[in-house]
Amino acid sequence: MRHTLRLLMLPFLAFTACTTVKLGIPSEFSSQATELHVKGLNGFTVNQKLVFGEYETSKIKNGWVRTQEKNDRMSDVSTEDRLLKVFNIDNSNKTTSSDTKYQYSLYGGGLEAKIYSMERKSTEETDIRTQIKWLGDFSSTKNSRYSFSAAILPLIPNFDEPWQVVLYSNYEAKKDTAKRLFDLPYAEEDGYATNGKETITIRTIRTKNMTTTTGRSVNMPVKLPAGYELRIDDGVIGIIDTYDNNVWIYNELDKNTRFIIASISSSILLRKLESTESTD
Amino acid sequence: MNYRILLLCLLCWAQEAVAQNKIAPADMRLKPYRMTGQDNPLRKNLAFADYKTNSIRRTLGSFFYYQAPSLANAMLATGDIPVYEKNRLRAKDVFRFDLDKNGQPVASTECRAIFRKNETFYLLHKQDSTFFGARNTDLLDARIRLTADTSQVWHMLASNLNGSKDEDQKGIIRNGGEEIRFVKTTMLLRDKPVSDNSPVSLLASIDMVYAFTYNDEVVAAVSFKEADRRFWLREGLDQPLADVIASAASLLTIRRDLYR
Repeated sequence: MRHTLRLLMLPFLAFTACTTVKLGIPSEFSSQATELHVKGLNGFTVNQKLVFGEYETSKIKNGWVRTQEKNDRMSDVSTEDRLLKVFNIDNSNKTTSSDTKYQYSLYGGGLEAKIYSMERKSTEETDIRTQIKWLGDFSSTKNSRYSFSAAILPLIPNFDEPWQVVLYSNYEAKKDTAKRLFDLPYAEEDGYATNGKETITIRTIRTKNMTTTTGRSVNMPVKLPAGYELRIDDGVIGIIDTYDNNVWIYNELDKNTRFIIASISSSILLRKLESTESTD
Repeated sequence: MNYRILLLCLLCWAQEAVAQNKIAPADMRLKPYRMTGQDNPLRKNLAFADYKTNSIRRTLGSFFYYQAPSLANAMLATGDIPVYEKNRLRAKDVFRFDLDKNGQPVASTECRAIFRKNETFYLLHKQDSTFFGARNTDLLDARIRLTADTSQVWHMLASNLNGSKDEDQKGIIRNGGEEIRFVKTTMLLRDKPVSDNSPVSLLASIDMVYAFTYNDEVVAAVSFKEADRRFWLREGLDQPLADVIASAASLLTIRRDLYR
């Protein structure tokens, strides 16, 4: 059924590939915020630099994406494991782990920060070998964990507490409540940035509604992850549009806070592993 | 109709995810250490922090299991399709090892784990709780003896470490009135130890671990999975407690999966 869903998504993905879509920003926020388009995210990552508004990065020092796949300890025995044993179907429990790191400096408005980021993903799957030619082999996800972490060191006089950014997603098939085709599975997820005194909540934006560059609305059959919302005390201060690589920053913020928002946004946009939203 | 197609219709899939529920922020007092060893036959001993295991000995019976034959299974099967199947299996893991710290012996551990599988499958009607492991027995019993004071023997009991039952994988380590509990869980933990002026120590990731709690506070953790294995220990923890937890963490890493 996963293959069927992917086939159904193909026309929509083809449409979005041909026409640039972006996250629709509510006018109540867009009228009080500045849109910054991030350049440098697409293309080669050698000598990669980002530029958005008054902010620009140094060359991004990208680490290798390390992936390890092995038959690891089983986290628990699922219904699938029991049924496969009863019917003597060949299967194995496989754990795939990936991680990567990157670091860079961000400059803007006379301010500078060093940013260190790390991503890690681990997925446990049951690999099923059906021995049927037309059916082939497939796998079933048991659990999946993704985490993104960044340390932002602002080199700002009288304002040098480091910020810690965390985004994570934790999916377990045992706790999944999805029953129907377009039901979204249950996963634990959270995101925040904190310097010990202040905390910015980072919330994933999932929506069925997109907007093309000509302003036309597009509706998807399922809610898709489209970006992130940054909040302080329940007020939105920034939006990251991951479709069109835009960053919206609230105008009424002071220079230092705007700089922190820009640092958080750039580190999130530079991620390489699958995002928090995917449980493949 | 091919029974495999019928089986495939019974399986579940995961798709795009929705959220809520939060994992606690990383406790910066838990210092991470890489754990090496036990990853190939030539590296049997574990090494982490200042600890190292040695003299790991397993009984011969730990390498075998016994599966009870069943006449009903043979009679109630149509070709490859079992109409009824009762699966009874007995396995054990009995081993011991010593733990050194900085070359000096600190603890000696003996462990006995037993697994009795008793699962029944019915093709023609709904499965009951016996199919999901309600009748399985999965217990681990261990003794951790500290070298500094041989009268201090910590008793460890754990259940469902093979994950065959629908309950937590957990245990307790007790000596007199003192108790350390552990449970398999997912936690946000530091990636690197704290070092002066290095913001890299702020980086954290989610890991599946056995978390050890003492007086309702998490004081240690050890990776559940073999890949990128690590051990976390709270700085400043009493030495005897740290030695007991290190022994228990080694035991949980050395033990074998008994579910077949």
